Amino acid sequence: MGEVLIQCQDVWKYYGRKEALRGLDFQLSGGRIVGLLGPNGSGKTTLMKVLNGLLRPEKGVVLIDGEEPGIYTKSVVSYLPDKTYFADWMKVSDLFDLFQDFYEDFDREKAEQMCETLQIQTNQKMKILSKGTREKVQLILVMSRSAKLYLLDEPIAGVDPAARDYILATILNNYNPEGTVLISTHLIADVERVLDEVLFIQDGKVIRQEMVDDIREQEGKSVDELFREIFRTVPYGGGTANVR
Amino acid sequence: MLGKLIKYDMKSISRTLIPLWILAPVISLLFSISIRGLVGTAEYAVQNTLENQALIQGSAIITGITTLVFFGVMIAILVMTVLFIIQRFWNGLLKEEGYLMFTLPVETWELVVSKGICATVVSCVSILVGVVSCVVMFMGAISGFDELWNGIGQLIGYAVKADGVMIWSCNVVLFVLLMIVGTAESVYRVYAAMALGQLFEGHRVVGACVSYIGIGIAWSLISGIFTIIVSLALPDTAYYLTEDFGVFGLLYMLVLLLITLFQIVIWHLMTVHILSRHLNLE
Repeated sequence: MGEVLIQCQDVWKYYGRKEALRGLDFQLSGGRIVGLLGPNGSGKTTLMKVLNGLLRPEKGVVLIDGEEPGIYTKSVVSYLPDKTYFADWMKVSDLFDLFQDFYEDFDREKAEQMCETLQIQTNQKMKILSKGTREKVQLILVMSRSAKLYLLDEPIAGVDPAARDYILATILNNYNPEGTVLISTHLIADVERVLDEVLFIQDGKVIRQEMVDDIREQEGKSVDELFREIFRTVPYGGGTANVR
Repeated sequence: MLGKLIKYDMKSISRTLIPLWILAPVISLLFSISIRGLVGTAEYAVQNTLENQALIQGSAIITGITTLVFFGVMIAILVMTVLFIIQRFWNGLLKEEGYLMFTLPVETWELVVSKGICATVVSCVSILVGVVSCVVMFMGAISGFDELWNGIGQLIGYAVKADGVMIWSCNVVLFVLLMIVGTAESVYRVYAAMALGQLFEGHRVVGACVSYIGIGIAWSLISGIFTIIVSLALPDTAYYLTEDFGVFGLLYMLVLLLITLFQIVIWHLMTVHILSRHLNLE
């Protein structure tokens, strides 16, 4: 087990009176791919935002590589939000310039090669690209960094199965092996095969943290099956939908 | 890092405002020429007792068109400048783009200062372009423009003679500084209002407008009380106005400059505090 990369201790975050994170506790080590799994509204995105400094928790300790979220942690965290964040006037090459200027670990050559593979011209303006292509450019930017921590918020939500395969392959082929990838999603079946470890989050709390191999060996279940078991809600009228 | 941020913020204006900045003086020059042409045509017609209405009408139409274009460009510069200031902060920091900007390894104050410097420069250039364009336009539109310049020159000469070159040079420098700092204050006030507005979940734009009005009222109250105290404490200002105008102007602008700088500091600290502690991205 590598050194502790993320440490969260009794982390609380409120939106007005609503508790988004309720005394969240966990530790993550470097060099693995971790699934942050939970139903909608469980606090996944809030946790991601807290980890990269977009939100400040009201209470608790958050440490990334031993430091509180700030300039240092931002320089070692590569974040893929669940929305596209480009300015209209920017070309793909402008974004590469920006990343090159601000992140020492950005590999421009790699980013350009990835664009070439996808036949994305770097002199194209972001606003004329399709939504799917814009998302791919964003993924390329994030995965072209040799970061210590990759925070990927719902990277495969709302895309077709072929695009999901592309996204997961890009993540697997390009992340820094010494770093940790934290993928938040509720599409477990698609990501399960790439995960080393899982964090189950519910109502702003980590309710279970386990290595994927242990789940399979000790419980004889897939992560997807375990997820359905943990987060099952009985529909109105009783019974289960039994849909996979 | 601040320099790099400014570079990107300045880059974003190149496609919108720069063409307008070039266009405005060119259009005003055309306007000026067309006015001269119209006056010349009319005078020629009168002198030669011509009744060629078509010539005068044609000249008038050209003047009318250039007038419309000129005012159109000036309004466009004004609107685009205001929009630029608001949009680059609102979209650039408080909407989706904020996910990129706030995860860059830079301090929040650097993001705000970068936007502030860029918006102030853009506003000052727009004002300068507007003034230059108006001067160019009036050169053609007003007969006896040379006399006007001479008159202004004489007035300055008289003032310099009365108070000395030093005082009036300082006055000019302070006036320019005051204009720049005043512009920056207006920008920062809008930023503070937007930072407050983003806290209003679901009513962010309304929140920003209400905050802007609220900030204005609060500052008017504070400055009103301050002015009353100062006017009670200070001796008769009318004396200085009539007897020692140069020195009075200098002191007045200096105080105003310090107050405006103080305002900038308040709005800046307020904006940075809200964005670093209570950021509420869409």
